[in-house]
Amino acid sequence: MNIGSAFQEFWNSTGVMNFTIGQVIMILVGLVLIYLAIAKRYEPLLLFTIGFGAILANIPIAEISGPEGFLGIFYQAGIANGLFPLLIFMGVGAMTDFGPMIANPKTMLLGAAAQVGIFFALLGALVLNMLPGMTFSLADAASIGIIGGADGPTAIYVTSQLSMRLLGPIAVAAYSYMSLVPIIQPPIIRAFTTKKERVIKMEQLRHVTKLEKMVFPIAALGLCIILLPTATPLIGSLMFGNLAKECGAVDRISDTLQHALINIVTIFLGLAVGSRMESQAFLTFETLGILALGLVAFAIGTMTGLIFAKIMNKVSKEQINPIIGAAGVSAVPMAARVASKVGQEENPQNFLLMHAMGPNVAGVLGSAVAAGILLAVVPVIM
Amino acid sequence: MSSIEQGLILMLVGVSVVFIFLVLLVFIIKIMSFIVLRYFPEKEEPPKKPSGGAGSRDAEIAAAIAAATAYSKQ
Repeated sequence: MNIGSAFQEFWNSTGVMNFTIGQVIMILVGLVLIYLAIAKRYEPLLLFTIGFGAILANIPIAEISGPEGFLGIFYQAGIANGLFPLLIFMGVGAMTDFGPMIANPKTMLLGAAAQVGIFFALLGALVLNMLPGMTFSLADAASIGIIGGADGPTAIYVTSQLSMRLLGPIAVAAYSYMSLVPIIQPPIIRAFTTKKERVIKMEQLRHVTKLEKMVFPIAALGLCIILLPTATPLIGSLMFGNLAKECGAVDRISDTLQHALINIVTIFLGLAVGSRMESQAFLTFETLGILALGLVAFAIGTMTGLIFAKIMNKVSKEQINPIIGAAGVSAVPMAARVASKVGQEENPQNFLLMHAMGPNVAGVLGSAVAAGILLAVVPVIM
Repeated sequence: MSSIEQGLILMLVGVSVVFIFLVLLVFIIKIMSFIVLRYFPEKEEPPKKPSGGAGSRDAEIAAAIAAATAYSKQ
């Protein structure tokens, strides 16, 4: 070997010689995600890590997302087996206050109504199969639908169990739409409610005792154990975190779940999801279909939540401002903040935040239940 | 059975089970709250004590700051 051929070998191993067009495009997509995270603050913790993961995954030669690469190892350790989303759920549980929901339990039904979007998008995916280039199986359709649950960890969990190949686009769609809640929801809210409904004032919520907050996670988990064991990984993690927070006896655990653990897992989860954004898996027509269906799922969930809230307002004795129905699509706490903001624009004396938190946290339960149903039924009927 | 039919079935089953689950949870919460509030009402005393403690510490800090400011102005 002479100096010339050594330089030749080196030149052949540089990025310049080995890039494919797809990889360049995906690196640009990664940069866009990072831009959105830094400049627009759209779900920065996740879009930043996913974006950077996407850049790393599309570097030629290095094979960072391959089975031996470090992102591949993250992926195998916690996404392929569904571990990371569950750890995130523990943190979410430790940060969630179910108080507003316990104070006014019937608003939980709004969290159920808003899950209709999930199943609409599922159906939509099967209908899209008629287009060329789309081949969604029932399991794929179920994973796409769950984007409408507006809950990133749930979407990743379900997809990792049912339809691994679509993980990249589904996770990106789920987190993008969650961050776009303040843009997507207000026009839908205004379109489906009247001015008179939007100014409705709601009575202040009653005080919820500490014991009620402690019994709730056990009771909810109990119901889940009896009715829907396939949802217990999600609900069980959520309630583990919640009881740790509410009981007051294990503050160190609760503190770790809320801060250190969820932050660490977010880093691993984001990078590993980014590693699934390899060009050959991501740059397909199916990705466009998934992005479109995710938006449909989200919009329909918002709509059905609003419509159900209007019906509840007509039927029940006390008045219910239909705006809070839009918060049923989980995306905690963003959707509740949006509902509260829209309410305040109509009537500055109207404070809907706490009222919207009820349906909002019920939405998390609702999408976890929907996930449990899909995990229980889809593998059987396929 | 076409996949769209399967999707419709899944939709019906899914929406109804989500509703059934949350309706049951509403009842469970109502019963739970009724029992807890009736038989284990919260005592008013305990939350006040720690807040009183924190308050007096705040007062001490305020006094210390006031003393320090007065001293530095001399």
